[in-house]
Amino acid sequence: MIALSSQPIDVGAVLAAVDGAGEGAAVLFVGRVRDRNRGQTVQWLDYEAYAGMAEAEMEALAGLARTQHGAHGVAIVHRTGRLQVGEVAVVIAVSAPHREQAFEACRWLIDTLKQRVPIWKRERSLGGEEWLSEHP
Amino acid sequence: MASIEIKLFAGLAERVGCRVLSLDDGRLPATVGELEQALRSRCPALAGCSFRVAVNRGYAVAATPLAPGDEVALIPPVSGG
Repeated sequence: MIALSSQPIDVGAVLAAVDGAGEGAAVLFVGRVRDRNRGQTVQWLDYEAYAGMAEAEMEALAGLARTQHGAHGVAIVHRTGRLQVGEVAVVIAVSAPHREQAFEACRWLIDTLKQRVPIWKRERSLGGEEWLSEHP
Repeated sequence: MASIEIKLFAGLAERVGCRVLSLDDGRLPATVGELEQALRSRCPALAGCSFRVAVNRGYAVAATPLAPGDEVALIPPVSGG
Protein backbone atom coordinates (compact mmCIF):
# COMPACT_ATOMS: atom_id res chain seq x y z
CA MET A 1 0.00 0.00 0.00
CA ILE A 2 1.62 3.21 -1.26
CA ALA A 3 -0.74 6.16 -1.52
CA LEU A 4 -1.65 9.80 -1.16
CA SER A 5 -4.93 10.37 0.63
CA SER A 6 -7.16 13.42 0.84
CA GLN A 7 -9.15 11.66 3.59
CA PRO A 8 -8.13 10.74 7.17
CA ILE A 9 -5.72 7.79 7.19
CA ASP A 10 -6.87 4.47 8.68
CA VAL A 11 -3.74 3.65 10.70
CA GLY A 12 -4.82 0.07 11.35
CA ALA A 13 -5.27 -0.58 7.64
CA VAL A 14 -1.70 0.60 6.93
CA LEU A 15 -0.34 -1.76 9.58
CA ALA A 16 -2.50 -4.60 8.25
CA ALA A 17 -1.02 -4.04 4.79
CA VAL A 18 2.36 -5.34 5.98
CA ASP A 19 0.96 -8.50 7.55
CA GLY A 20 3.06 -11.23 6.07
CA ALA A 21 4.19 -14.77 6.36
CA GLY A 22 5.90 -15.04 9.69
CA GLU A 23 7.88 -11.80 10.06
CA GLY A 24 8.72 -11.35 13.72
CA ALA A 25 8.41 -7.56 13.84
CA ALA A 26 6.26 -4.75 12.54
CA VAL A 27 7.10 -1.09 13.22
CA LEU A 28 4.58 1.68 12.70
CA PHE A 29 5.47 5.37 12.40
CA VAL A 30 2.64 7.88 12.73
CA GLY A 31 3.47 11.51 11.96
CA ARG A 32 1.00 14.06 13.30
CA VAL A 33 0.58 17.82 13.10
CA ARG A 34 2.46 19.41 15.98
CA ASP A 35 0.86 22.26 17.93
CA ARG A 36 3.98 24.43 17.90
CA ASN A 37 6.66 25.06 15.29
CA ARG A 38 9.60 27.45 15.55
CA GLY A 39 8.09 29.07 18.61
CA GLN A 40 4.71 29.75 16.99
CA THR A 41 1.32 28.24 17.78
CA VAL A 42 0.27 26.24 14.71
CA GLN A 43 -3.36 26.58 13.55
CA TRP A 44 -3.35 24.20 10.62
CA LEU A 45 -1.22 22.83 7.77
CA ASP A 46 -2.11 22.62 4.08
CA TYR A 47 -0.33 19.73 2.34
CA GLU A 48 0.22 19.74 -1.41
CA ALA A 49 1.71 16.82 -3.36
CA TYR A 50 2.86 16.26 -6.92
CA ALA A 51 0.44 13.40 -7.56
CA GLY A 52 2.01 10.71 -9.69
CA MET A 53 5.61 11.58 -8.80
CA ALA A 54 5.00 11.46 -5.03
CA GLU A 55 3.70 7.90 -5.27
CA ALA A 56 6.52 6.93 -7.65
CA GLU A 57 9.14 8.26 -5.21
CA MET A 58 7.47 6.47 -2.28
CA GLU A 59 7.46 3.22 -4.31
CA ALA A 60 11.16 3.71 -5.05
CA LEU A 61 11.90 4.26 -1.35
CA ALA A 62 9.88 1.16 -0.43
CA GLY A 63 11.99 -0.83 -2.91
CA LEU A 64 15.23 0.46 -1.38
CA ALA A 65 13.95 -0.29 2.13
CA ARG A 66 13.49 -3.89 0.99
CA THR A 67 16.75 -4.33 -0.91
CA GLN A 68 19.07 -2.28 1.34
CA HIS A 69 17.49 -2.05 4.78
CA GLY A 70 16.07 -5.50 5.39
CA ALA A 71 12.39 -4.61 5.22
CA HIS A 72 9.93 -7.24 3.99
CA GLY A 73 6.56 -5.47 3.91
CA VAL A 74 6.39 -1.69 3.42
CA ALA A 75 3.29 0.52 3.41
CA ILE A 76 3.27 4.33 3.19
CA VAL A 77 0.26 6.68 3.13
CA HIS A 78 0.60 10.49 3.15
CA ARG A 79 -2.21 13.00 3.56
CA THR A 80 -2.96 15.95 1.35
CA GLY A 81 -5.21 18.92 2.03
CA ARG A 82 -5.84 20.86 5.24
CA LEU A 83 -4.88 19.16 8.51
CA GLN A 84 -5.61 20.41 12.00
CA VAL A 85 -3.27 20.02 14.97
CA GLY A 86 -3.15 16.38 16.07
CA GLU A 87 -4.30 14.97 12.72
CA VAL A 88 -2.26 12.19 11.14
CA ALA A 89 -0.14 13.44 8.23
CA VAL A 90 1.83 10.31 7.35
CA VAL A 91 1.84 6.62 8.31
CA ILE A 92 4.65 4.19 7.53
CA ALA A 93 4.49 0.50 8.40
CA VAL A 94 7.42 -1.88 7.99
CA SER A 95 7.60 -5.58 8.69
CA ALA A 96 10.82 -7.59 8.91
CA PRO A 97 12.05 -10.85 10.36
CA HIS A 98 13.58 -9.05 13.37
CA ARG A 99 12.96 -5.75 15.15
CA GLU A 100 16.37 -4.23 14.37
CA GLN A 101 15.67 -4.28 10.62
CA ALA A 102 12.11 -3.07 11.08
CA PHE A 103 13.13 -0.11 13.27
CA GLU A 104 16.05 0.79 11.04
CA ALA A 105 14.08 0.60 7.79
CA CYS A 106 11.16 2.60 9.20
CA ARG A 107 13.52 5.32 10.49
CA TRP A 108 15.28 5.46 7.13
CA LEU A 109 11.95 5.67 5.29
CA ILE A 110 10.58 8.66 7.20
CA ASP A 111 13.93 10.50 7.09
CA THR A 112 14.30 9.92 3.35
CA LEU A 113 10.64 10.66 2.57
CA LYS A 114 11.12 14.09 4.13
CA GLN A 115 14.14 14.71 1.89
CA ARG A 116 12.92 13.36 -1.46
CA VAL A 117 9.20 12.93 -1.89
CA PRO A 118 7.57 15.93 -3.63
CA ILE A 119 5.15 16.97 -0.89
CA TRP A 120 4.98 20.43 0.64
CA LYS A 121 3.27 21.95 3.64
CA ARG A 122 2.05 25.47 4.16
CA GLU A 123 1.83 26.39 7.80
CA ARG A 124 -0.80 28.69 9.22
CA SER A 125 0.25 29.98 12.61
CA LEU A 126 -0.59 33.03 14.68
CA GLY A 127 2.50 34.56 13.07
CA GLY A 128 1.11 34.26 9.53
CA GLU A 129 1.15 31.79 6.69
CA GLU A 130 4.14 30.35 4.84
CA TRP A 131 5.39 27.41 2.81
CA LEU A 132 7.92 25.42 4.78
CA SER A 133 11.05 24.35 2.96
CA GLU A 134 12.93 21.90 5.05
CA HIS A 135 14.90 20.10 2.38
CA PRO A 136 16.46 22.08 -0.47
CA MET B 1 5.49 23.40 -32.20
CA ALA B 2 8.35 22.72 -29.75
CA SER B 3 6.62 24.44 -26.87
CA ILE B 4 6.96 22.76 -23.52
CA GLU B 5 4.81 23.00 -20.40
CA ILE B 6 6.34 22.97 -16.95
CA LYS B 7 4.37 22.20 -13.80
CA LEU B 8 4.94 24.34 -10.70
CA PHE B 9 4.08 23.52 -7.10
CA ALA B 10 3.67 25.02 -3.65
CA GLY B 11 5.67 28.17 -2.87
CA LEU B 12 7.17 28.26 -6.35
CA ALA B 13 3.73 28.30 -8.03
CA GLU B 14 2.67 31.06 -5.65
CA ARG B 15 5.77 33.12 -6.33
CA VAL B 16 5.50 32.82 -10.12
CA GLY B 17 1.72 33.26 -9.98
CA CYS B 18 0.72 30.21 -12.03
CA ARG B 19 0.78 26.42 -11.84
CA VAL B 20 1.95 25.80 -15.41
CA LEU B 21 4.66 27.68 -17.28
CA SER B 22 4.81 27.48 -21.04
CA LEU B 23 8.13 27.86 -22.82
CA ASP B 24 7.85 28.41 -26.55
CA ASP B 25 11.26 28.98 -28.03
CA GLY B 26 10.71 27.54 -31.48
CA ARG B 27 12.78 24.57 -30.43
CA LEU B 28 12.76 22.21 -27.49
CA PRO B 29 15.72 22.65 -25.11
CA ALA B 30 17.96 19.61 -25.59
CA THR B 31 18.63 19.07 -21.91
CA VAL B 32 17.29 19.96 -18.48
CA GLY B 33 20.23 22.35 -18.02
CA GLU B 34 19.28 24.27 -21.17
CA LEU B 35 15.66 24.36 -20.09
CA GLU B 36 16.58 25.77 -16.70
CA GLN B 37 18.73 28.45 -18.31
CA ALA B 38 15.90 29.43 -20.67
CA LEU B 39 13.37 29.51 -17.84
CA ARG B 40 15.54 31.64 -15.61
CA SER B 41 16.11 34.17 -18.38
CA ARG B 42 12.39 34.32 -19.33
CA CYS B 43 10.85 34.28 -15.90
CA PRO B 44 12.31 36.89 -13.52
CA ALA B 45 10.12 35.52 -10.68
CA LEU B 46 12.37 32.45 -10.58
CA ALA B 47 15.40 34.57 -9.61
CA GLY B 48 16.79 33.38 -6.32
CA CYS B 49 14.41 30.39 -6.23
CA SER B 50 15.87 27.03 -5.47
CA PHE B 51 14.35 24.01 -7.21
CA ARG B 52 15.12 20.65 -8.76
CA VAL B 53 13.75 19.58 -12.12
CA ALA B 54 11.72 16.40 -12.58
CA VAL B 55 11.21 14.74 -15.95
CA ASN B 56 8.51 12.10 -16.35
CA ARG B 57 7.95 12.02 -12.58
CA GLY B 58 11.58 11.37 -11.60
CA TYR B 59 14.37 13.71 -10.49
CA ALA B 60 16.56 14.79 -13.41
CA VAL B 61 20.05 16.28 -13.65
CA ALA B 62 21.36 19.04 -15.93
CA ALA B 63 22.45 16.50 -18.56
CA THR B 64 19.08 14.73 -18.70
CA PRO B 65 17.85 14.93 -22.34
CA LEU B 66 14.37 16.26 -23.13
CA ALA B 67 12.03 14.79 -25.72
CA PRO B 68 8.70 16.07 -27.04
CA GLY B 69 5.87 15.06 -24.75
CA ASP B 70 8.01 14.78 -21.61
CA GLU B 71 6.27 15.72 -18.36
CA VAL B 72 8.46 18.40 -16.77
CA ALA B 73 8.08 19.93 -13.30
CA LEU B 74 10.01 22.25 -11.01
CA ILE B 75 10.34 20.84 -7.51
CA PRO B 76 10.97 23.45 -4.78
CA PRO B 77 12.51 22.26 -1.50
CA VAL B 78 10.17 19.59 -0.12
CA SER B 79 8.62 19.53 3.35
CA GLY B 80 6.53 16.37 3.57
CA GLY B 81 6.09 14.26 6.67
